Amino acid sequence: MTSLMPEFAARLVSAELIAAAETIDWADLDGASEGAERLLGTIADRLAEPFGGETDLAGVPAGGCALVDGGRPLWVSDRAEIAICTITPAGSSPVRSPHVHTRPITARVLHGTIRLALFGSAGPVLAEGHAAAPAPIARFLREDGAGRAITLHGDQGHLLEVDRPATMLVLRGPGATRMPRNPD
Amino acid sequence: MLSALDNTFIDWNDIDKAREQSREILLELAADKSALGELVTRARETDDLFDKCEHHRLLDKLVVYDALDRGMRIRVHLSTSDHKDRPHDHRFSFTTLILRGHYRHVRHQLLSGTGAQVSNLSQDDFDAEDAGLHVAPRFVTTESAGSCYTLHHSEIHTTFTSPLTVSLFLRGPAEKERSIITDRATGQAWWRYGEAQEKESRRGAKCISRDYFDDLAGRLRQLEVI
Repeated sequence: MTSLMPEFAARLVSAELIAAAETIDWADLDGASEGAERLLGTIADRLAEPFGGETDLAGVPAGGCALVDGGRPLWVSDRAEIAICTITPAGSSPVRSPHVHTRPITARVLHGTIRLALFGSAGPVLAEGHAAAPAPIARFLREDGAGRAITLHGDQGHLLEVDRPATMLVLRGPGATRMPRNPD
Repeated sequence: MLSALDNTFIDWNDIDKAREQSREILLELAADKSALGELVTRARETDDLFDKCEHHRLLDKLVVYDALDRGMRIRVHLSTSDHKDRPHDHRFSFTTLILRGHYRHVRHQLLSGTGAQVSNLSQDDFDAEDAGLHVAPRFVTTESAGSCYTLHHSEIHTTFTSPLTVSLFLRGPAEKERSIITDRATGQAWWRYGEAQEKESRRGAKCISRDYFDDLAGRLRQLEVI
């Protein structure tokens, strides 16, 4: 991963925010998503402020699939990771194939629009209707633009696509790996 | 806009293409208040449409365009003041566009239970049965005005609405006989059938009057949806 300027990261991610990020209870995904969204919203607001004319979000270079290498970290510990990630339409990218993160993640779109396809999960099925929907067909399709936030469980299979470079703020929960893998 | 709608066919077997088509239709309708207003007026005056408009505990549904033979039925949804966490699936795949307000949207994974033991006659929350259905959140977001998503009929989700949330909703043909609704707190469940197979008592309970329709249409005008 490539770090941002330390003073830039420090301005965005205060000790208070780090403490909040590291104490999110991801076992309650619904509740965790609210805390994570608030936290990323605070950082997004700070990103919108000028920073001495030296750098700003435009100084975060786009290139390849930043999600694969974890993006540009603002904070990394064994309990939480906060990063700025850019996805570009060019080139091959694992995020365009179905994958899971194996750790919970909340992402807030800063610039651009991401197309997200969510896949069904292995496990029990309802008495009606699932026979016609074998995984891994996409079953939940959406677009999310600037200001929108999404939270995914580590087992949630998905893929991302963009027409133009899109930048996201990402908060990852605890977990050992970020390597994408096919949900099936 | 409306004449183009009359010549559109949506094939939900190709959900990606169905998504593109239905999203475009909903975006155009949302942008054309006059066309949407005309559809609402037609729904009030056309018995086939009016009879399909329904009041439910969590939302009111106005059916404003019906062409399931061409893969679409368009509804306007208005949330009521009642909001509950009730994971459910649908008998059909659909695309929806949020026009006003917002809601918490959760995609769930089924952890246990199938609902198979729930009686056919259990069709309301007050006669819900123990189904042992347990679900867990896998995706969470807040849908706000402008959000548009497509959901396959096999998905289980919850929409926890706020007051005065209004959505455009374009559904495809029914893909199964019934869908299930569960109470997340108790694991109890009940079925939702299509109109033709519903208990008579339930069918009667959700009908709306023309006065009530007018009240809903008035709210849509106040909110500048039409």
